[in-house]
Amino acid sequence: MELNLTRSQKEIQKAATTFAKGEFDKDLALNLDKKGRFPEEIWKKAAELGLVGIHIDGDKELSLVDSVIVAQSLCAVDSGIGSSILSTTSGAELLFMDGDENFRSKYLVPLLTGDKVCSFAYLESEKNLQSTNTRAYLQDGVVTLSGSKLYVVNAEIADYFIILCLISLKEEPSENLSLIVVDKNTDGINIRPLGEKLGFRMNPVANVDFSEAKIPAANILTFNCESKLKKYLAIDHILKASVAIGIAKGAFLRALEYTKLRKQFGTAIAGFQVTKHKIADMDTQIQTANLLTFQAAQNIENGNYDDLPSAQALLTASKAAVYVCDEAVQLMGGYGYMAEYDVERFYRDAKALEITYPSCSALKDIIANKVIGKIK
Amino acid sequence: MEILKFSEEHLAFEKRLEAFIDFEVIPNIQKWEKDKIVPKSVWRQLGENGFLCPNLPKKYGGTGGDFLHSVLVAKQLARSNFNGLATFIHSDIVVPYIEAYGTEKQLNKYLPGCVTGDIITAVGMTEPDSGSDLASMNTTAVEDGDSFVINGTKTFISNGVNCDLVVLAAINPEGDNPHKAVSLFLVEDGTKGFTKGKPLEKMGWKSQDTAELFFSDCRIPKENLLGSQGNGFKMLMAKLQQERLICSVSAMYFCENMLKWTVEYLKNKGALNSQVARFALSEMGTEITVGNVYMEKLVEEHMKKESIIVETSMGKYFTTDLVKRISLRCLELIGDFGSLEECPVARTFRDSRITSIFAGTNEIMKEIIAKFSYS
Ligand SMILES: Cc1cc2nc3c(=O)[nH]c(=O)nc-3n(C[C@H](O)[C@H](O)[C@H](O)COP(=O)(O)OP(=O)(O)OC[C@H]3O[C@@H](n4cnc5c(N)ncnc54)[C@H](O)[C@@H]3O)c2cc1C
Repeated sequence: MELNLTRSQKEIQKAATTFAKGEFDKDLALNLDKKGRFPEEIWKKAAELGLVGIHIDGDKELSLVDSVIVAQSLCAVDSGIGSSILSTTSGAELLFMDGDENFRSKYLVPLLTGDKVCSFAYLESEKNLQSTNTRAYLQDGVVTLSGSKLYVVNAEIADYFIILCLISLKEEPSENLSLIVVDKNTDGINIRPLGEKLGFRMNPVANVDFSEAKIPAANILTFNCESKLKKYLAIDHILKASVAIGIAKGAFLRALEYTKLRKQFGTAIAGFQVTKHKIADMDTQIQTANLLTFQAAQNIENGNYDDLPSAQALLTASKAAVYVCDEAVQLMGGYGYMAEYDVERFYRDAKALEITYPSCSALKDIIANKVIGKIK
Repeated sequence: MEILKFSEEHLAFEKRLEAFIDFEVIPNIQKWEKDKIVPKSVWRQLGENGFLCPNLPKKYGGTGGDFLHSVLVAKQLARSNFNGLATFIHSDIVVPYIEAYGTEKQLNKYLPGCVTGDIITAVGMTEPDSGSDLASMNTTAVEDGDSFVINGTKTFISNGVNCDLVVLAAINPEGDNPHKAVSLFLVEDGTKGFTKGKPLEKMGWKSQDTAELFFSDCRIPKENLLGSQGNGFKMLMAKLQQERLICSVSAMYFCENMLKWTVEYLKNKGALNSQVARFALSEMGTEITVGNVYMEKLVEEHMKKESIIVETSMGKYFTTDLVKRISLRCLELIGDFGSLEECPVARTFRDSRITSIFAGTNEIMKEIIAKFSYS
């Protein structure tokens, strides 16, 4: 099934797919996954083509559907390389929504041109963002930041961080969530790599400690960012859902092709009734997730940042990805378990996406709160 | 709810094995997983201590134990959360072929080495184009004077690099009925024309040396035929009961360990105040308990030499599906930490995913169950 894409969206889809098919070398992907290395060169090329942060095009609203398309197209060709490219702009929408010209030219544009990598450091507890304890106080034009962030993706390769923290104007504590941009080479930053990962191995992850890091006050992006953060998370959920759908599509297409070629008992595997129904279920789940995700993205393009559709899209998409990849491995038998056939890697990536923040449980909380409303 | 009764002797055996795993295995897992193989010396150490083929009779160097010893080996290896030393493939899957069908000469020649670990065994059934449909195999064995000449390729063979002896299934190209044309052969490492591939890169079982085996005009003496000619299929089918059963035993112990670890982790994190988490644990605990009772019952019947093909197929399907589901669900409860390899459940997830594919896929299990029960 094809969604009703505009002409320009179709062109983007074609460009992203052509680029990925041309550049995402299979052996390279296997090697990067094994060594836990980021695909630097391919990312730069993707940025040259304008595929990095394509939804941040300078207009007032984000053209989020464009990024949904790019994420799906890249990740379907290779989940690891595709998601790595997308990960470099983590937090960029916050710079776009709140940054003045200075922020935009200094911190946003270099992300879109593939010159810099940004990492949004937000987690301190796996449960929610409300338990933020990283504190900063502003004095004489300088912000002093102390605290620790967990599971910071790309911490090692990032050039700067966007930090979610509590900023006080004087020394008295503030409970307002705020955002500040911190250059990686600032003194007082300690990066503790978390080692090998289950999935998304091309994006190393680390805990990051700040001890009295001194940052110019001009780097404060947003005071009191709660509502902005909510908007950002809605966007982020949709982008993650798109990655999940790309992973699912990639595993699905590989398994589909395989089952049509592989013969046992004189029949193509795809000829068995049970296989047919598995394929039907896999495709149906992908399409369902896809529809929810497109609709959620369109909502945001229309300026509606309701977090219900985006949470539902991500929940559905990440579940679909795990399910589809799991069946893909099974359908490909022993070959499905071998690294060379890709789907085991897609499966690990899908599972990693599903269990890392925001967890399914957190998404269900968002959904339930909206659906149930107030209980008297 | 326990059905199996372990004697003092069994428990003493388990204690020794537990210590061995703690001191000789667990500290080396990281290295072996990186090396993609476990050194042969560890097999010999296991052998010296009586942990290989624990149920072979004393006259072949064994300790004369029973299948419960194998159950305990599976339990302790599961506790190590490690599959590189899949000794059950050797002890409970391959060696039983030799024990059951070997001539006195073959028994005396090979079994003592299988016990000491000087001979590591593998079974070669699967081929690149022939997995579930075993009868479609293309590896041929042709009689020529006083030898058989073997040609073909086997793939996904466990212990494929370390093996000193392969129980190989090959077909007589002259036979019209493939089910009556397959024979089993004993092929020694070092035989001219027999070469091994490198360990294959896999999702899990990282230090298990799964490999391709190549046979090119490989000539073996006629006396290396195992069992009678043309009877290969029957022999394979007869031994699959134990093969599938030991897979179930192992899967259940992995389930238990994962749940135990996850409960501890959530407790330490203070996450058990979540009702959703508590229900998830309760559901998993229930499934595992039910699965264990069934698994233990299968072991009991198997030890009474009952033919329980359908029941073991049900067990293989249920337990390997369960171990996958438990791993997926535990990871979901664990959350972000589960995405790091440091989390033991991440490895169990990667490792256990193969169990519903090898030793007959779960689709094949369901075909067997339906064929015997519902047709
Ligand atoms: C780590 C590992 C270790 C192994 N160790 C050994 C070993 O030591 N010795 C050995 O001989 N082999 C070994 N194997 C091979 C293993 O037994 C086979 O992979 C398995 O039997 C499946 O065969 P296949 O991979 O060719 O899949 P296929 O038979 O091609 O099956 C592909 C898919 O089609 C499905 N399918 C097949 N037939 C039907 C049907 N009739 N109806 C519905 N669905 C169907 C399957 O269930 C599967 O989902 C090992 C494999 C692995 C990955």
